Amino acid sequence: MTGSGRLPILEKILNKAPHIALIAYVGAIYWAFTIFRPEMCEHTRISEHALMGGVVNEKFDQEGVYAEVLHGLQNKKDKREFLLDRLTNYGVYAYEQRWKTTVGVLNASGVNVWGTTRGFRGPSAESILLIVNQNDAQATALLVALAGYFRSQLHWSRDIFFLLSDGGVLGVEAFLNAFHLTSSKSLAFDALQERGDYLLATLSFKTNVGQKSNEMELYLNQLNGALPNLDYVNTIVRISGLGRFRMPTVLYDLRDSNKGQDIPWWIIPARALFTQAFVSVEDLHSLSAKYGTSGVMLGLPLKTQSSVRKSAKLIEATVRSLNNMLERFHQSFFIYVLADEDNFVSIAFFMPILGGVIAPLLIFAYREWVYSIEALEIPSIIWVVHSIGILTWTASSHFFGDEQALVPGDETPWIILLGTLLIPLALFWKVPPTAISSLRFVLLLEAALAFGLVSLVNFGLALLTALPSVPLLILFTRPQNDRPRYRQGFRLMFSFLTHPLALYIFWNVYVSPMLMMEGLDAANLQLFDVVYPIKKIVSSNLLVGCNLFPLLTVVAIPIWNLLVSLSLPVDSIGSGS
Amino acid sequence: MFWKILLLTLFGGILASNEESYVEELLISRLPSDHHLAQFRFIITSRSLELGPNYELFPRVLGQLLQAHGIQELEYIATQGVWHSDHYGPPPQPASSTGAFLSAKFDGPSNTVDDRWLSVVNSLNGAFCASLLSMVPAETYKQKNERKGDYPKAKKLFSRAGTLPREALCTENLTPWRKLLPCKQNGLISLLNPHKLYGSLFHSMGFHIHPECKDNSCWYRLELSAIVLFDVPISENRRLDWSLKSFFDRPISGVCNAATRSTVLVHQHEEQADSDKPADVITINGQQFAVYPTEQILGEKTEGNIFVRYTKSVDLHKKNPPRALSISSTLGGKDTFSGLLLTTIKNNENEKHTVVYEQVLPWWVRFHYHTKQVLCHDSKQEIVKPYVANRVFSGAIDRKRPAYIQMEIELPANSKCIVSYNFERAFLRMAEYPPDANHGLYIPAATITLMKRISTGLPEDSRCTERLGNSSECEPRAKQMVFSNVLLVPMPVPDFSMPFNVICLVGTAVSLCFGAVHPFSTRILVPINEKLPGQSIWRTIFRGILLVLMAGACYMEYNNISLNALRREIEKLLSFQF
Repeated sequence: MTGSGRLPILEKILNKAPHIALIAYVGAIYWAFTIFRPEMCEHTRISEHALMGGVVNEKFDQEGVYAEVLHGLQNKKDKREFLLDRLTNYGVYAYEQRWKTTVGVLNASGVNVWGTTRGFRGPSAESILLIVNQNDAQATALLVALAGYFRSQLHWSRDIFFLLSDGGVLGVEAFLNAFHLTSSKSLAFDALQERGDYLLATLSFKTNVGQKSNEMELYLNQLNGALPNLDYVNTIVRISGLGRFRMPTVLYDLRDSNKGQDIPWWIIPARALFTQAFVSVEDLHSLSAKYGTSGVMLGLPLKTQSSVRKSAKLIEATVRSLNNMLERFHQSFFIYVLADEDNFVSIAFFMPILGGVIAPLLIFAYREWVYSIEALEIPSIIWVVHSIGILTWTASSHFFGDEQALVPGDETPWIILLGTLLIPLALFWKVPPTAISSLRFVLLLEAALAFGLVSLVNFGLALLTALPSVPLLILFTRPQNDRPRYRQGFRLMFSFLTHPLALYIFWNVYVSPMLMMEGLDAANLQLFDVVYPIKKIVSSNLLVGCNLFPLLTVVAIPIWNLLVSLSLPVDSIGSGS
Repeated sequence: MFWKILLLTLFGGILASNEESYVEELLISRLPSDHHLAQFRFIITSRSLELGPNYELFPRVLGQLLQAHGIQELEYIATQGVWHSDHYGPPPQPASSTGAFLSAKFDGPSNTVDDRWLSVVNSLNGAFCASLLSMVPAETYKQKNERKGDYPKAKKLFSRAGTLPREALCTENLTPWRKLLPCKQNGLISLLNPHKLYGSLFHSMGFHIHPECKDNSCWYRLELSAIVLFDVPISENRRLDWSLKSFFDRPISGVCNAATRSTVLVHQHEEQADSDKPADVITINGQQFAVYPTEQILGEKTEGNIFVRYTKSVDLHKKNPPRALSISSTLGGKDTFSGLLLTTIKNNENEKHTVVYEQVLPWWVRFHYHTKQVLCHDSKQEIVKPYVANRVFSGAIDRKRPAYIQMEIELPANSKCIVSYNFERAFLRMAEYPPDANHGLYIPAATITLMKRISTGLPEDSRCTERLGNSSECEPRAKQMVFSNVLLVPMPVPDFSMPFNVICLVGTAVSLCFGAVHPFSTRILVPINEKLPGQSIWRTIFRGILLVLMAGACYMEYNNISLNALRREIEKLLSFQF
């Protein structure tokens, strides 16, 4: 103990806070670059042995049906009627389900076609769902052929449902809602004509367009950062890698042949984190986790007869593995980062990265608590910016959720929302000089807590937002009472640029190309480029329950406002701390 | 005189055994959904209600069980697969939902019924190589439905029943079941090929014993039944033609000499084109049935096999009229804490039907009775509140008995009625989870008993076919029952292997230690006054109450008493006092 009553180690941390914060931050990045290396990762394994991936002899031989249905889809006028007719013809109980949106952000409707074949080697109390998009003729034809084939087989102890979604992910949302007897504020839909019971897993697939004929694309990211159970992913990877399939798995659209040559090894984990963080709805599989179900999507080569047969057998092998399962998926990881298809990093290894990244916030908050705060005084601006954030979220949800609120083509409401988010409220609210240290302390603590909490459900989002935010937060919360006036002005101007939307544009212009993703062109930036992401996150919040919009309005924008408040010249906010 | 007495003593049993009888029959019919249904019935009647000590045809194991436990009626059915009543129509009787169902009606003293029930479950568990033990006590309930047997005088019977939805049916159960029959190799039993039975869409087997009386004499009637539902031909030429060999992969082998009658009845379908010539054609309830005695089937021409050909192949596009009455259940909700149980009953007939709805809910489904809703949608899709009467409800007691709901619902014509309630899942103790805890636990199927039968066109009671050759109207004795599907409830499962749980556990342990243990173990207690604080009477009372509460909690934990049980006891105590 020292004279102050603190442990010596705490004293050292306080005295050398900037150095220790820098070491923690840099060390976390170094740790990330160490553990995400494929050679340092854990090798994937299947913990649920009952899955027995690829042990069965796949016997799919209905390429003729596939060709017939594909031909019909290309020539028939009423495709839905044709699909219902074909499914019925193969002995599958087939039905339609109508749905339409009931929110202002999107006026869409569709008619799903779905069918089921019941498992009779068990109590018929569990289900497996196969999904395709009706617009994808090849995948649709394959699903119909598989439905007919599965109906004729005797293996099934689980009910198998076949969903031909109209309207993509919203069709899936309508079906899953009806399946689980839940209601939706954004969708009106028909109830299912037949019961469906506990959903074990969903398997979506689509045609892998323009790629090599032997590659299988694997999509796994789900809503709000959820991921399918790693056993499920591993089972599919194992099956596709078997000698009789020889279909290399492609993750995040990064080809195996490029790995280690044109692109560095860190691209796959970086893309994994990015997709988890910001791609709320990747494709048809993305909503499964919302219903407590693991779901993946396969991009299959459906070009030649042999590739169709191979793809169908791959699906057959996967579904039969699911049919073998003794329990629901629980054995393996739900929270992980894939370094490639055969290697992964578990939560115990990657969580320390965030710990290191947010450590500076905690260290500086502690220093503020010890050295600067005499009496904790929470300034009212904290409540104001958060209340306005909550108000913005609820009011926007209410307004854009109203079916009649938006006129097609009228961008005014969006621009108003954008303006509301961009207004620096801190300029209109004075912070008492005595409360500045407390504000600094609360801001650092809130940011650290927010990153920590978000990381428990969406590690990618927490890490990718913490990485740029932490240095900015440290810089902009430093006391500035002895600085020249012009530097204070620069700091204020620069603080405006730390707005989350500005960071979004910065990311899309400069970072996305580094991750080999499509980004924005800095020379041709338009208002649409800023409004578009707002539209997207509001829509996905209202339609499928993505939580990026509430996080933005209730957490990110208020933190930015507090940051601006602390960047104001000393005179504007009082006499300084 | 001596010789007469000696002869009577020696051959008395044999002479008496002639009064026992054995009849076997197989009814093959084509359902409106084009599936083929095979119903085996093996009927054994005893001499009288006094069974033993000599058993000729009546199975000794069951006779002794009845006598030892004072059982008047006993029913056991094990089922694999689900009877989808919305596609197949009402199930053949006796019907049961997926899994095992056991029910018994006892006479004698009421205070020993539970012990006798436990003994019966144990005995049948061994006799049928089943796993019925978990039925007692947590899955046992008192059935409120009617008796099936005849009773010469009014008798007070005590009912016990239990269902195990997860119980699988396999060859292990088939072998002991076959052994109950007088003929184990010859006769119709030879058709029961396990490969075909367990590869079928639906298969159930079981038995039912009840007393029967006629002209002042009574006896036990034992009916062993096996039901097999064959799928429609999906592939190849889609021909519905069948033969015994195509169904069972083997012909009938040998005649059962113990049987007074052994016949195969084939329902005459309008599309039937050709078949083996029957010995007779009988009409029951307006439907024609071809009769093939086993001896004839074993003749040189047919060699144990008969066939039927139809004029048409199966038409999967055929729009069948909706089945008269169907029931299905679904679970709703996304999380692993709460849920919604929804049962849909469809009445597609132009007249209203009164049904008795029954649902058994295991204790770990804590359903909210106040959320129970019964609503119907009529043919115009308007919501109608049906007439509901005779409600019976017995609440669950943790680990002791399930909840039981029964109500009489009047289903409007052409309506879809929904019975629903919300529920929560209980947190089980570690030892109460099955080995595959993450699989979930099953809720037994809901049942509806029809007050007025819906015609299936088939003789649903073996008594209907007893007097062959007589064209007759036949009203089965037992009420027609239709079952929904069983439901799987994923339970909240503790999992201490995952990092989150480790963090929670470690965090809790650390906070507990540093919250209380650390200060206590490191602080030095120094009295600030030389005089110790005085003992307040209120402090003593408060400490006394705390001590009593702690002792009570320990006692409750030790005796597995739940808070609900404690509340009930307190309520009972209060109601007694006031």
